[in-house]
Amino acid sequence: MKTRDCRNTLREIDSNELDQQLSDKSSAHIAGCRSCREALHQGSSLRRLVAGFETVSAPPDFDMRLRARLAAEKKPATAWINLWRQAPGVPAFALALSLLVVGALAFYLRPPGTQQIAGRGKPAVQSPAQTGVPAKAFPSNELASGTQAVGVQTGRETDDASIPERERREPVSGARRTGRSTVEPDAVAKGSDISSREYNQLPANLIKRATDAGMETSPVVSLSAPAQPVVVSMRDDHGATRTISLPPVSFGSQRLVQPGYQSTAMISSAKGVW
Amino acid sequence: MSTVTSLNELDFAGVLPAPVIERVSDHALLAASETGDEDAFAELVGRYRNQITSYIYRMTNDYEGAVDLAQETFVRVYRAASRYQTTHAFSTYIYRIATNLAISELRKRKRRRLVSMTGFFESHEGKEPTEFNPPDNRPLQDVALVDTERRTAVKRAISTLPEKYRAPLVLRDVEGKSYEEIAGILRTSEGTVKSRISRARGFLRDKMRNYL
Repeated sequence: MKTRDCRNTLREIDSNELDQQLSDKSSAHIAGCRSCREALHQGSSLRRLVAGFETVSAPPDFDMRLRARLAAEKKPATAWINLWRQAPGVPAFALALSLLVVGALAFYLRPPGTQQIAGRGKPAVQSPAQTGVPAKAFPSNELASGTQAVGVQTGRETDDASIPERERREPVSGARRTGRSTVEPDAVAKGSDISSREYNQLPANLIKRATDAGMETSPVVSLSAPAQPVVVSMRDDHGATRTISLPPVSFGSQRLVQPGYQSTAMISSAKGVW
Repeated sequence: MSTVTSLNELDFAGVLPAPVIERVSDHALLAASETGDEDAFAELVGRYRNQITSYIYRMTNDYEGAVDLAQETFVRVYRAASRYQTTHAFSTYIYRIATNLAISELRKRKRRRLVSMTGFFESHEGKEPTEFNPPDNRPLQDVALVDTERRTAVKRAISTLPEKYRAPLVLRDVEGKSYEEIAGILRTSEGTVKSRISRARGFLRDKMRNYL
């Protein structure tokens, strides 16, 4: 039967340390109480048993696994920085990127309607009064009598003074060679004061009637195709002359407006005129 | 003319200077590791890895889980190195982290119902699941075998203690920490620690009555 002394003694046994002596009152009680003596023995044995637990060692790869774990936690935060540092051509990439940005800014910040190439001083399109080029300067654009001829302003009809002497003498061959300009390639390469235009970004050319007053001196071109083949003589840079015969190109309507022309298809068609 | 018969006679110890071994404090090592000194942190890990692993193992009774939690303890120490305050000993600090992790793991296990099938029996006071551990009254065969059996029984008995009794008991009787240090680790008073330890020992004694 547990008395109050037994409870106090057991509490003291549980509270004391291994080598600590009990109080005199508890010691006297234990001497006369068998259950408390057994409790003291069991408690001491249990404490020795628990204290005898050997320390469990960490596995040999503990440090390595811990380092890997720490490295894995570091990686997401600095992944982009490491990628930036380990990129092989970072300076070159940065330089190219900055050049690209500067080029894009220069393209978008240029004044609207600018038709000049950087470095060229004169505007690409000039008024007929400024150009002063007679219509006869373009032999292929001779007006057909009795037809409505219109004048077309093109880039290649600009600034006659900037065209070299040989180009003025042979305008057709130069136009054929360059396709879009009567200017010699070597003249462009030398950086002469010749303007050009970008046809992709400009509106359609202004077409005016050649018969209007004041437009007689402007360059004109006929919309009617020539009935005879056009023979073009070209001379290349080496002095060799080539002759090309261009057949007349017609879309039909031009032939219709020409006087005295009747197609056989038109005659035989019962449904209409085509 | 004297001849040298062994290398011991050369007395290198008297010629070479003795290596200077300085015990760097834990605070200094943690401060150095905060600045990126990996060697300092490795030294810190070397000092505490076995203690922390052993402590968590005694708390959870699962070695692999204890190793993982010990690593998590060091990871948290490394991450929170800048927030560490030197008002407490580093051992108190790291044991507190390990204790919190171990208790969290025990609570997770309880939620997952990962207690053993024999854990349906409940104790009288704590309403905690206790191991069904019937007394074995067969005659003892071997002292070593008996000792191993008793240790196993003690481990099981400790693992059935409630968390609030288990941690101070392990810290006091297994790890040998002082009451003051245990109070710092568990963030409670020394009186509470002594009371809980006394209760834990009483529980253990009752559970182990047939083995002692």
